[in-house]
Amino acid sequence: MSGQLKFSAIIGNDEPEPPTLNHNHHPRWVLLLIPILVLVFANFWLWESDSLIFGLPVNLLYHIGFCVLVAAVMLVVVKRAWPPYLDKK
Amino acid sequence: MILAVVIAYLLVVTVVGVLGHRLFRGTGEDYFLASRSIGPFVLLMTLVGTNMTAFTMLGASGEAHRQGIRVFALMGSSSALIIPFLFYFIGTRCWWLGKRQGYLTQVQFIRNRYNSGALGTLLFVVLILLMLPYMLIGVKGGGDALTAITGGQMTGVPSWVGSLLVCTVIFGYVTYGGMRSTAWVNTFQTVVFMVVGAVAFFVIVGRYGGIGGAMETLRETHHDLVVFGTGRFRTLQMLSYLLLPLSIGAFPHLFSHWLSAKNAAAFRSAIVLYPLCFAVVWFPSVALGTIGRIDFPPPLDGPILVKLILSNAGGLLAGCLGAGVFAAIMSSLDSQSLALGTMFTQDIVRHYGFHNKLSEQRQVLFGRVFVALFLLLAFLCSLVTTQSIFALGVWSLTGFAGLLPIFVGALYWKRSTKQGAAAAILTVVALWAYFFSQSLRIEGAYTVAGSGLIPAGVIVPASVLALIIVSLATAPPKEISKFFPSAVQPEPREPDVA
Repeated sequence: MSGQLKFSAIIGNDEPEPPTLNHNHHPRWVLLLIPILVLVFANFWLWESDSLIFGLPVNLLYHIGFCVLVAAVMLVVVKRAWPPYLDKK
Repeated sequence: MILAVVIAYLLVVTVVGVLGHRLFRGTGEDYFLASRSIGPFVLLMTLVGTNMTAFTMLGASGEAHRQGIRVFALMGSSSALIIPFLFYFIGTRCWWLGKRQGYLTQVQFIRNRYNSGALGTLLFVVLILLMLPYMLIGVKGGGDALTAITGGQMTGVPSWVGSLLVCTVIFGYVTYGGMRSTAWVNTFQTVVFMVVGAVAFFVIVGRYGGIGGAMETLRETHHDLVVFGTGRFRTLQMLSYLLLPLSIGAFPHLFSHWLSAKNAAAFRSAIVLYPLCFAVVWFPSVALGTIGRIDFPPPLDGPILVKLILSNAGGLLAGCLGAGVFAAIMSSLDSQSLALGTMFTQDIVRHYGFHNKLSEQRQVLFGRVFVALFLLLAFLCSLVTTQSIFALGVWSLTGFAGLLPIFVGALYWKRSTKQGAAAAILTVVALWAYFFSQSLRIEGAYTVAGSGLIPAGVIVPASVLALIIVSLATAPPKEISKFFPSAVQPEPREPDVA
C-alpha cells in the first residue's frame, strides 16, 4: 500500500508520512517541471482554433485541463519529493 | 432584498469571526498566527480565499468582456501553474524557519538572515507601500459592487457605504479574534464565493441556451473572443503574465498564513488542490464576462457580472452575488490588514520602541490598533482613488513579484548578501516607479515599449541580476547555517526497546 498514491493522505490528513528522500532538501528535478509545464501552458498551436468541444472553446477547455494536469503533477511532487527536514519534530 | 441578503451575509461572517475568538489564548503569537495551529483544510481554503480579491469576480469578468477567454490563461491557469510551486519551495521553507526561529513577519526573517536592521526597515517600507494599493482593491471593489448591484451611480447605494460596511465588519472580527477568526472566516467565505460563482454561472448560461449555445453565438458574432489569436495575444504577453503570480511569494499576508500552519504536512493539500480551486473560481468569472458581450457591448457603466445577473436573475441571486463579491473581497482584506498590523507591531514598535521586549497583552493591543488604523486609511483612500480595480491590482502585483528574488535568495542561496538584497529592492523601486510613470501617459494597459511584455517581465529579471551581481561583489555572509537544513538526512534512530 505504501507505494500507492492515497488521496486521503492529502485531504484531511495532516500527519507526516515516512520520508521518501535520502537527502534533506527540495529536489532539483522538481524545478525542471516548471519549464516543461510552461511549454505545455503556451499552447500556441491552438491559439487560432475556434472549435467548440463540449460547448467550450477549445483553448478554454485546454487550460481547464491544464489546471488538472498541474494538480496531478503536484500530487506526484508531494508524494515523491517531500524533503524530510520539513517533517522532523 | 439585495441589501437584506448582503447584510444577512455580513452578520453570519461576524458570527463566524466571533466563534473563532472563543479559542483565543491571549498571546501575541496566538493573535497574529493562531499559535501555528491551522490544519490542512482551513489552510487550503484560507490560501485560496486570500488570493481571490474583488478582481477575481469583477475585474476578471470585466477583462474577459474586453479580451475574451484568453483572460483565463493570462491570469487563471498561469497562477494555477506558478503558485503551487511557490507553496512547495517558498511556503514550506518559510514555515520551517518561522517555527524554528520564532518569526512572525518577513522583515524579522530578513533582518535576522542578513543581520541588518536597516535592510529590514527598507523592505518594510516597500512592502507597506505596495500593500496599500492592494488593500484598496478590496475596499473600493466592495463599494463599487454594492453601488452597481443596487441600481448604479444614480439610484444605488453610494459607493462609500459598501466600502464602510466591508471595513467595519473586517475591523470587528480581525481585531477581536486575530488570525484564527480570520482563517475561519476565510474558509467560510471561500466556500461562499465558489458556490455563488457556480450558481450564477448555471443560471445565466441557462438563459443563453447553455454554455454551448452561448459560445456558438459568440463564435458567430464575436469570433475574436473565443480564440486566443496571434495578433493581440502575443507570446511575450502570455509568458510575461506567468511572472505576476510570483508576487504571491512576497505577500506579507501569505507569509503570515504559511506560518500559521500546524505542520509542514498541512501544505500538501494546498499544493495539490490549489490549481483545481483556482479553475473552479476563475472559469465562471471568465466565461460569464465573455458571454456578456452578446447583450452588453462596450463601453459599460458598471461591472459586467452585475449587469448579467440583474438582467437574467432576480434580486435574491443579485444579493447572493453581492455576498459572493464581499466574500472574495473580505477574505483578502482581512488577511492584509492583519498582516499590516502584525508588521507594525513586530517590525516597528517591538523592534525600535521596546527593543524586542513587549508584553503579550501589549502586542495584541498594538496589533488591534494598527489593524484599525490601516482599515481607516484604506477607506479614506478609497474615497479619492480613481484608478480601476484591474490597474491597481496589476501594479501592486508587479512590485511584489519583483521582491520575490530577495526571499528566494535569503532562503536558498547562502552566498546572497545584505548589499545584494538592498540592491535588488532599490532596483525594483526604481523600475516600478519608471514604468508606472510611463503608464500614466497612455490609454489602456501598459506594456514595455508596446511589445506586449508587461513591466514584471523587466523588473523580475533586473531584481535577480541586481541580487546576484552585488552579492558576488561583496563579502559573503557569516554564520548562516541555522537558516538552512543540514545537507544529509539524519539517520533514523533505532526504536526504543521497552
